[in-house]
Amino acid sequence: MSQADHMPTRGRRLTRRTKIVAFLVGALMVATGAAASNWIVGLSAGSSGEAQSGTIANLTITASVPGANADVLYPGGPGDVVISITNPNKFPVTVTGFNLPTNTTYANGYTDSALTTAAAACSAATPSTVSWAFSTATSGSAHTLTSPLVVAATGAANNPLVVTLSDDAAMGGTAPSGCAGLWFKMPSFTGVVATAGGGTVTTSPATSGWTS
Amino acid sequence: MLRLLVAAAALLVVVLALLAGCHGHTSRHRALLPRSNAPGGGAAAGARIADLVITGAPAPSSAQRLYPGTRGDVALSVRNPNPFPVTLRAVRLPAATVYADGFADATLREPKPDCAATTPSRVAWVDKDSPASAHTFSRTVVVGAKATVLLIVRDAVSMETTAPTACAGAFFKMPSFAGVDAAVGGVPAGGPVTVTWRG
Repeated sequence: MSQADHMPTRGRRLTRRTKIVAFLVGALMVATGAAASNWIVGLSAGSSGEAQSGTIANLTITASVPGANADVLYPGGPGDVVISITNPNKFPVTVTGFNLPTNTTYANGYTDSALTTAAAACSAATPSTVSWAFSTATSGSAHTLTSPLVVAATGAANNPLVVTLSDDAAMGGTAPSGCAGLWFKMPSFTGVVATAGGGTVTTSPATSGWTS
Repeated sequence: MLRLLVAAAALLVVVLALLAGCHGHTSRHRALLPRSNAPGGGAAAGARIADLVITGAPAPSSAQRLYPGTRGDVALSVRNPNPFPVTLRAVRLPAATVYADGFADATLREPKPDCAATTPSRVAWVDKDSPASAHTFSRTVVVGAKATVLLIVRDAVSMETTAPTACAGAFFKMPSFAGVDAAVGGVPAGGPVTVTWRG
């Protein structure tokens, strides 16, 4: 048998040995590195982390169409106002009150509930004499709701929240006859008293309001 | 091929020696000092173990932000200055009354005066009722040799409902940790790691 005949057999035997040795070495290296040891590592003084708070976005309040059972305005009497509160924040917001414009800031009258067709004979300048109840001569007067409203976070149920403000609109005794049978876009609030967070979210539609 | 076998055998001996050294060392010394009394005249020096350094890091956009009455995520930049990997298992928190300082910028350089720890900001670690108690991560975090890992800890921070409005849109430097539970070794996974902790 020639030397050349031995070469393939020898070559295979060495390759197998090499593989076994390599496997053993590799396994031991993995074993030594896979687990933490008993050697304790400390912490540099003052080590800490960083967190971030969210920003606050303003609520949006728009007019909503009063239902069939809403109190309607007549000269010298109060009426219901329906609003829709949208909370764009990722957290609930609790509304506890509103700030009102002066008692001489009047509403514009419209012939349609969508508030698109103005009634020329019943505008704020006429004046319509329709204003917020309990508003004063001072702009920004604060009025606390009889029951707080918790508006859900954005994307959650009950946001926007439709609220009937009971008897919080007033029509003066001198209101022109052109204001009969109309819808009114109430003067804009000057502010809202609201805080982040709150308890149980208020179910829409809700009823609240101020009485003083 | 004989050389290969000799080299592999030598490597095997070295690995076995290392393995025996690690497992046989049960005391908790902070460093392996040179063994000057070793026979044969040779001397070997083990590396000293340096402390981990944890600093605040801007959280990714997916991190939960803080709002009054809610919990948020905290971002940690964990730097291992050692030439070997380190496994981080837990952190120890400061006392319950320690609040975070609020800053206007993510680099925590511009303080918000009305949202400071002394205001107080009402931002604190969650599960902080046991001062210096260990809070174990939901998984171990291995930081590679001389490497840094971004660690996000879910719901680790709380903001009380009485937090001042000035704390909206702020960045918070959390109160310093009281310590960590970390040890030499482990296999680094790489990339940002997200964990929770148990109180």
